[in-house]
Amino acid sequence: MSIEITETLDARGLNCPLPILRTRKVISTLSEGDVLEVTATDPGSLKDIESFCNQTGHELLSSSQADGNFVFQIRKQ
Amino acid sequence: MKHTLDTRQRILSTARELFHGNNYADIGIKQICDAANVQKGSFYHFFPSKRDLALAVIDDMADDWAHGFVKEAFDQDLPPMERLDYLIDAAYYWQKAAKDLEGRMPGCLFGNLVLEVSTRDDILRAKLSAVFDKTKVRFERTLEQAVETGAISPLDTDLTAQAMLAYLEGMILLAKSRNEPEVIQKLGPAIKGIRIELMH
Repeated sequence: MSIEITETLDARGLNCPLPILRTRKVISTLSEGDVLEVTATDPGSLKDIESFCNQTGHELLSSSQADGNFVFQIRKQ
Repeated sequence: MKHTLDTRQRILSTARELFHGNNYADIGIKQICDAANVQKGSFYHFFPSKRDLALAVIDDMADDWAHGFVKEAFDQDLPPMERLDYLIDAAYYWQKAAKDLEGRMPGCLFGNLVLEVSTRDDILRAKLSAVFDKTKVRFERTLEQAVETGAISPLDTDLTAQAMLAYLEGMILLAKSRNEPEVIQKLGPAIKGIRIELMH
């Protein structure tokens, strides 16, 4: 079953901590259950997004890597 | 011209990294030139002395921050006090990412330099003090807006802004002493509770 993406965030070219700050900003505008897809190029974002989700309680649905991009799907809790 | 800019920028970026990861005093011009792959003559063309380089590094870093995470955190579209959460997040994730990469938490470049040079070099000290002042003003404007919007009751915005900056820097120092960025995550949110009352 595919996940329905509510919102996308292009964080490519941004370095830590900007991807996290933008993610936090966009998530704050979403409703519970909505899914945000973040695309980033900063390798640090792998650990950062995981840590952000642990800290905030949002659910990291998937995390994948292709063509130098890191793609995360986060469900707002 | 492009080459000139590249060389200057390369020296700056290299020096910034070396200063941040080590002591300012320990880093020599030769080491910077070697790491940046630049001839000494070329170095002196851009920077007459190591202090001139340090002044430029401070400007460069402050400029980067002003256009980067500081701008993102002190976003005028965010409710004033919420901006402080973003600032704490920025400090935490930055320090954590650096630790993940190097194994050590580097702390605040400006704070590190203040500790090292303020008793030895008044020009660098004044420069760093000016950077802190600019940050303090950002806190102050945020507090003023928070008072205007009724988010907090009136307080001494000048002194509270200074206290917030002191808390931020102190917290980063404590985290650095433990090599634990999580200290910032745990203590950070309390920055919003800091207040110094107006004296009547």
